[in-house]
Parts: sequence; structure tokens; C-alpha cells
Amino acid sequence: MKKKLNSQTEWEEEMLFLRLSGDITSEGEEEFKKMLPLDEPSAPVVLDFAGVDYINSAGLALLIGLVRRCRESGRPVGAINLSGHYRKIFHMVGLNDYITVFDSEDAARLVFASENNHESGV
Amino acid sequence: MKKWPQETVQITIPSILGYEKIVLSAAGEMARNTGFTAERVEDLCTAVQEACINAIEHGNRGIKNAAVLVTITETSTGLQIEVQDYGREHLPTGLGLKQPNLEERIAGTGKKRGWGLYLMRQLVDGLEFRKAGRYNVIRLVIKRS
Repeated sequence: MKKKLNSQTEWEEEMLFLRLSGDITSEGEEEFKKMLPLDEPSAPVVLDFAGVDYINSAGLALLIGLVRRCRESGRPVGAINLSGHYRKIFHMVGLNDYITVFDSEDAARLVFASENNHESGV
Repeated sequence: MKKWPQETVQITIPSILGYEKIVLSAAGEMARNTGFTAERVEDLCTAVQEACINAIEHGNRGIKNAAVLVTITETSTGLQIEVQDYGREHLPTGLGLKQPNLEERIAGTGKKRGWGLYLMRQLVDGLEFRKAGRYNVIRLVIKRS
């Protein structure tokens, strides 16, 4: 019944993609702790929810904690492949004020790459 | 002429996180078969999920063999779901009325948890907490569309 949460880290164009799969619940706490590598501490983070079909309130709390850590180091946070239902949940909670939800991976690349270039003066 | 309630399903699960998914499967199936829109099925499932988690974690304090009893009843407008636990923690009636302060939580100053009851209130058409003898009962009412 439970699907263990896994995250795969991919660096792409100075952006960190976290490919999530499994359930986002309290049992994912340890996985969340190791999600943000220390190198490139201000690089944007894109959470890919393609492999996630179950998020509960404890999982939302973990996502909020991740956003907090990202903000502390100045990382913008985005989300891709988030279902319509969880977009609604993010909106209810207010997470969409802190996580930019993109319609596609390309849109995330485009927006965050231009922010990176702007910040580095390109 | 149809008389309501028409169908009732009861499910008992142990107080082990993950078992709430069995309830979601049943409630979701019942909702789909009684004309709920896809969006309302998802709303229902998230609300029921949170009610079950609340019962497991708080009402039964995670005591594995303390059962959570879920009763799903078809009504004229949708479904009514009652989630009963052993009432180890008292449920004030106003729970979930106030939106948790996300800004504080992002700043790391507020409580970490507490979204479940708020989400339940947002996703259903009616939400009540009551004491039935020693038990806590959360009643969710959700319309088809």
C-alpha cells in the first residue's frame, strides 16, 4: 500500500531537478533531509511530481520545510508534473506563493535559466 | 421513488498509516459509481484520507490494534462518511476553521503540522466532530458536483 518516497537528483543548466516518486508522507522525512546538496546553494530547484500520486498533510509539512530551506539559501523553487488536484491543494495551503508551478519542464528551464542569467549579469 | 440513504459500506482498518488507502479506494469507487465528477472524487479522497490519518494518529494515538471504523453512506446529494476512533484525544468543534499561517511555518516559527483539518474543511460541503460515548466521530458530507 505504501510507496516509499525516492528522489533522484539531476543537475541541468545550473538547475537542480528533484525527480520524486512514491508517497509524500511523514515517512519521507529522511529522504527530504538529504534532498538539497550543499554545492550550488542558490541554484533553482525544480520538484518533479511525475512519480507522485499521494501527498498527505504531513507530506505538505515536509514540502513546506523544503521550501523554507531553499529560501534560506536563496534558491527559487518550482514544480512540474503536478496534477490538477494537487495544484488546488497547493493553492488552498498557499504554497503556490512560494513554489512556482510550471506547465512543463521546458517552461521551468526557460524561466529559471533567464533568472540565473539575470542574476549573473548575462 | 428512491429512498435515501440507499447504500452503506463499512470498513474497519487498524491504526497503521497506509491503511487509509483501503478506505480511499472504497470511497473513491463508491463516489464514481454514484455520479461524482472526477474532481469531487479527488476532493473526497483527500478529505477522507485526512480524517483517517487524524483518527489513526490522534484519536487512537497510533495504537495499532485500535480500530478506525469508517461508514460510507450514499445520500440524495452525494456521500456521507463517518470516521470513528477511540477518542484518545478530544476534538474541539472549531478545528480546521482557521487557516494555518504558512508564512510563520516557512519562517520556521509556527507548528509544523496541522493542515489536515483545514484541508478537510476546504474540500467537503459539511464537516462535524462529535463524541459518541467514548468515541470521536468525524462526519464528512460531500456533494457529487
